[in-house]
Amino acid sequence: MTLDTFVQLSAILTGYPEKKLKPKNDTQKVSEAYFAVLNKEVDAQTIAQLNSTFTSIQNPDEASVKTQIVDDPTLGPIAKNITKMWYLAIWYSLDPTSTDPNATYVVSSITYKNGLAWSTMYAHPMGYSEENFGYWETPPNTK
Amino acid sequence: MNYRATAYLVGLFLVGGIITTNCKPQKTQSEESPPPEASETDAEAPVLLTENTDGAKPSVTLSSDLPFDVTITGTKLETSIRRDFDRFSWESFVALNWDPNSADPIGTNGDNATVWETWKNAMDVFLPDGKKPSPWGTPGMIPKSCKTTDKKVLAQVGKTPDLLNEMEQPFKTGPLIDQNGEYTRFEILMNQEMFDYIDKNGLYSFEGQQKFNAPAVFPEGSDSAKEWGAIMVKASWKILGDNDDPSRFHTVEAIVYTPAQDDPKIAESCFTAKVGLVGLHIGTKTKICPQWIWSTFEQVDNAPSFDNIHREGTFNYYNASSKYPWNEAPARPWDPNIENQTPTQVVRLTSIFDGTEALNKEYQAKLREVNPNSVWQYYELVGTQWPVNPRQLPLGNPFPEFLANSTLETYVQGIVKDDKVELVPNVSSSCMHCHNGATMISNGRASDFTFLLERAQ
Repeated sequence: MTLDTFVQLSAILTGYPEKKLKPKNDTQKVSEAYFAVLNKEVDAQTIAQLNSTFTSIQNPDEASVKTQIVDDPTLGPIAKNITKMWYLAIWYSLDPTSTDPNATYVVSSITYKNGLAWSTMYAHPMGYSEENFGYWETPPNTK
Repeated sequence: MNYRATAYLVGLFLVGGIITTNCKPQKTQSEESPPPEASETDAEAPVLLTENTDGAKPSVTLSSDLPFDVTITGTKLETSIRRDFDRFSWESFVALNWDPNSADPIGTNGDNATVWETWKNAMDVFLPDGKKPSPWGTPGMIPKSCKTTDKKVLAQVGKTPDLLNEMEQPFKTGPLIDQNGEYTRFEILMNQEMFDYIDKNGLYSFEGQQKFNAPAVFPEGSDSAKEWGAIMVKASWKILGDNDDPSRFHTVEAIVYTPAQDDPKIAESCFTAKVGLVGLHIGTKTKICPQWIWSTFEQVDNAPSFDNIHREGTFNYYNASSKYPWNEAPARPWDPNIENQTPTQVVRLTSIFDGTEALNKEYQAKLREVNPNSVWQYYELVGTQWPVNPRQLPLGNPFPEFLANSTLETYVQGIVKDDKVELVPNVSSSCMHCHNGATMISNGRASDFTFLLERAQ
C-alpha cells in the first residue's frame, strides 16, 4: 500500500477530503506518521489484503468501503482503528486481551493536536489553541 | 452532505464513546478570522508559490537594501521555499548590520557600526508612568547611576525584564551564563515604522492602550508599495573575557546595567565592558506574512548540536568536560553581581536544516570575499519560521513547527528523552505559536505578535 492509497482510503473512512488529510504543503506530516504506525502495527499480509480490496473497488465511496472493508471480519478492525487514529491520534490495541500498557498509545504530540475530533467539534486540545487570547468572547462560527 | 457534516457524524460516533467530558471550550473565530470553510480553502491555495521552477538558485549578494518582503522563487516547501525565506533572513541580516555611515560593503574594515543599533530601544519606549517617549532619533536614556553618557545600555539580565522573578515567567526562562561565568545580556529594539505606530496610537502607556481598545495591527512591509513594515530585533551579548577572541564577534563597548531588585535582593550595578554579539532575532511583518517572518542568527561558537555533540572546538556556552546538565537554568539566587558563577551548559537540540547550512556557507564565503577578517563571517542563520498559509488566521500554520536560538530560548528548546530530542507543541520553542498569545497589558487585546506592549505602564 502506498501513502497516497492510504490517504484515499482514510478520506472515505473519516469523511474529510484528501487535501485536508495530506495538504500540498504539508507541515505536519500526519498522514506519514499514521501510515508508519499502520505498517508497524499490522502485518504485511493484512495490509496487502487491505490494499488489494480497496484498489479493486471502482469509484470507492462510503457504501462500498463499508461493505467490502469495514464489515469484513479481518479488515474491519483495521479500518476502524485507522479512523479512530485520524480522529483521536491514538492507536488502539487490536488485541482486546492484551495487558500490555503500551499497546494503546498516542502517536505523537504533533498528531494529537491535529486530531480530527478537535476541528469537527470546533474545539482544540487542552493547553493548545491557535486562536488569539480572548477568542471565547465571540460565539463559534459553525457555517 | 458536505465533508464537515459527514465528518461530524463520524466524529460523534467515535468520540462519543471515548471522550467522557463534553465541556471542552468551543472553538470560536477571532474578530479578524474568516469562517472555517474559507480558511480551509485558503489553506490549500498556493499563496506562497509562483510559476518559477525549483532548483534555480540565484547567487547570493551583499546589499545594504533592507528587503520589504520575501521573494518566492520556488515551489517545494522544505527546499526552495525554505531557501527563499532563509535568503530573506540573510538579506535582512546583512542590511541591518551594514554600516549606516559608510557606502563600503559590510565588514570591509572587520567590524562596523550597524543600522539596527540606531533603532529605538524598548526601554526608551515604555517609560515609567506611561510617559510619552522621546522622538525618533533621540539618544537613549542612561540610568542615573551610570556616569558614562554615550554608550549602549544593556539593562536586561534575562529575556524579560523581571527575569529574577521566575514565577511570573511564561516559560522556564532563566539567566544564561557564559564560560567566563558572566551573565549574557539582552536588548530589544524596533524600527521607526513600529515605533511610529506605537507612538501615534498611544500604545506606550496603559492609559493609551485602554483608549485604543482594539487589536494592534502593525504596518506590513510591501514590495509593491516599497514600504517597510514593523521590524523588531532582539539581541544577546556576552561580555568578552581574556579567553574570547574579539575578532570573531561584532563588538561594542557597552554600559552593562543591572537594575536594583528587592526579592531577591540585588544591588544596582553599572560598568562598561566590551561585549560580543552572540544572538540576533529579527521579526519582520510583511504583506505576504502578516504573522511576521521570524529569523534567528547566532555566533558560530555558541554551542554544539545534539547530533554533533563531540564536535571539537571551544564554545561560548559549552564545555565538554563539564558535568553540569544541558540546557538547565542556573541555581538560584539569580544575581549577575556574583562573581565566577557556574557556566550554563548549552546544547542546540534541533540541528540547523541542511539547506540553511548550505546557504550559511554561501553568505559566509561572500563576507570573506569582502574581507577575510570580517567578523560577520562568524554568524550563522539558525532558521527562519514563516506562515505557510498566512490567510489561515490567526496563526497561519507556522513552518518549521519549532525554532530556537540557543542564547535566547535556551531552556525551552525541547527535551532529551531516551537519547532522542522531543519537541512538544506549546511547550518547545516556536516563535509564532508563542507570540500569537501576546496581548496588550491594559485590555487583553491581541498585540499582533509582540510582547512589547505588555511593558506599558
